[in-house]
Amino acid sequence: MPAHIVRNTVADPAFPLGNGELHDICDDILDALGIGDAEFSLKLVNDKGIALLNEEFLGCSGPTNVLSFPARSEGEEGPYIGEIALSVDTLAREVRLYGQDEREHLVRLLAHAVLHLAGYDHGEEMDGLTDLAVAAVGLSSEGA
Amino acid sequence: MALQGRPLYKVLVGAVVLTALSVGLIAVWGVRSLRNEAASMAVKNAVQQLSGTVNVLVNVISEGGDQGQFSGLDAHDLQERVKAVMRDRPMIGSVLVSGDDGLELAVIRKGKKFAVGKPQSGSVVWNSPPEVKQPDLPTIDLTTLEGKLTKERHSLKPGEFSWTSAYRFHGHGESWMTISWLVGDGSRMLTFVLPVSAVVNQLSHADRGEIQELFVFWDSGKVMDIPRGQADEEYRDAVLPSELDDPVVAQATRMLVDDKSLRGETFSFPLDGEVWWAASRPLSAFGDTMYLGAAVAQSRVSTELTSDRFIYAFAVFIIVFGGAALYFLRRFRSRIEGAGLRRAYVSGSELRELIAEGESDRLEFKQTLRYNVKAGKNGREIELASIKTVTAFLNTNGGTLLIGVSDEGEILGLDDDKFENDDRALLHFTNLLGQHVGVKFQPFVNARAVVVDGKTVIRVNCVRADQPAFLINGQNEEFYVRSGPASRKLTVRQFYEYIRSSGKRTGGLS
Repeated sequence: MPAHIVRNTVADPAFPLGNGELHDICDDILDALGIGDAEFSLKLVNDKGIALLNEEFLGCSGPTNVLSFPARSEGEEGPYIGEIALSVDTLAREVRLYGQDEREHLVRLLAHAVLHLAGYDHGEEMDGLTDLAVAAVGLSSEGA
Repeated sequence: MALQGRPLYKVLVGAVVLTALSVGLIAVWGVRSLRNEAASMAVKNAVQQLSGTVNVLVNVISEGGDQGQFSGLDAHDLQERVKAVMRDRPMIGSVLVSGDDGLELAVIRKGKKFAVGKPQSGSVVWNSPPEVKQPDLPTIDLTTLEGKLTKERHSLKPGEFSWTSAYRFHGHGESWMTISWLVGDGSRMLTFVLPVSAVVNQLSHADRGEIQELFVFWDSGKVMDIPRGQADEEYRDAVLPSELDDPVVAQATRMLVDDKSLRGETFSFPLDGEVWWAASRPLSAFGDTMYLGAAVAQSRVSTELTSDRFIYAFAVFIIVFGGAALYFLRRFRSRIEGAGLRRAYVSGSELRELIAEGESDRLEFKQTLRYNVKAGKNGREIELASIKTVTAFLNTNGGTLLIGVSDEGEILGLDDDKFENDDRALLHFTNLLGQHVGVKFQPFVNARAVVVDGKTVIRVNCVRADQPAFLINGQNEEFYVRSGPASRKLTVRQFYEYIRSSGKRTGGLS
């Protein structure tokens, strides 16, 4: 069980996945990124929850889609890479606004956050890896 | 702390097992008593209905004793009249006519002929047609007979009928019964003697429903079983229970003869692996000397609801239901064991009360999360001390860790740790837990920042985990359990013993 999922918000009908599927997707993302042994916590929150975290940790006001909290400092080892907070409200809103496939958008956000936990910064390499993860999860779910 | 964690899980498992057991037991007990009730009712109703049949028969025969027919006849006419009545009613075996002077006339049926007896010097002399041989005719002790007849006549009022089982009256044995009544001005008494077979034949053709065994018994201890739908027979002897071919009737009669309190009641007895229910009822027309009895096997009256198939189906249902409930409990074990973690000790006052209890095997205080007060700087050893306590709780019986409280129970808060805010402190703790114990133990741990007296305390509730939790520090893996108010590191050998005893205690670690 590489991901521990905490739902800090009531079950949202707009949220596309159950816990079992979410675990599978987290597994697939870690495998696609070549860090299958890594572990992280995923906290599902609403807009209010993520706005609070955004304010406290980043000093930004308002909700956002996803936040990453890396656990490892430079040079540290160990499977636990940190915590991700994801707003199910923002996810649903973005899917609606941008007309995206909700599952693909979720995978993209999670892969992005996991890459941050793994120590990557924004850039071409990170974008490439994100696309790779989205493609891999898409393939594996179609094949299943 | 309210019931939660492993004790809650155990109570739920116990409740499921107990519920399944008690529902099963109540159902089996209920079906058993239903069965008993059904069988008991069946025999009771049967003897009631069938004794009604006998009463109908008795009335039919009694009507034959229309008084007018026998009024004012001389000896010859009386004899012819009696023969005429006996021709009409083949079930009448003999007729006695008695008066103030004792026995006047006796007529006995022998095949299709009649023998006529008259009293003569203390005995009855038979005048019979040549086809009837004298030795076949009964020898009657006139003195005894007349004594009985006189007694009977004096107890009778005009218009009354007296039925009796003949063995008491005429010494004819249980297989006969009599009906007597007064005729004319009351000075003459007529007595019809009938074989009990008349009753038996009637009963053998009666609808007896589920009832398997019917019998007539006398308080002399003799019995006559009543076969089902058998051809009419003229005469049969009552026998002792031991002489019966039918073991059920024999056993029932033996019990009824031995224990008078059973008469008129319903009772059961086991025979050849089957439970039989029996009931009896006095045939009141004959005084209390003659009883009708019935018996039925319990299995015979089983309805769909009381059948063994129902019990087996119900047992399977209970097992499946209980199994399913246990499966789901097992499946959601970590959730159940984790339930209540979040809600316990969330207010300042609750925490103050908890702190007042002092450190124990389920409660530990840590002054800081990362700041080493003695060294004056943050230290990994301080972080690991908290995590060590958490793993010890996870491996033992759970407990609560309070960070920001001194060993003496003084609430100091997290000021020394210098976190930017409470969420950062919690994130730091979650990171430590993830890094040094693993995310799979997070369902068994709940950390929360609680403000007590203006100071922030991190309260960490833990329940026993479903697998051993190790403290992982780089290449080192250590195993801790609670031992009193301290966390004790186990050696490999001690860990082996722990696993063995846990296995015994909890039925294996999953």
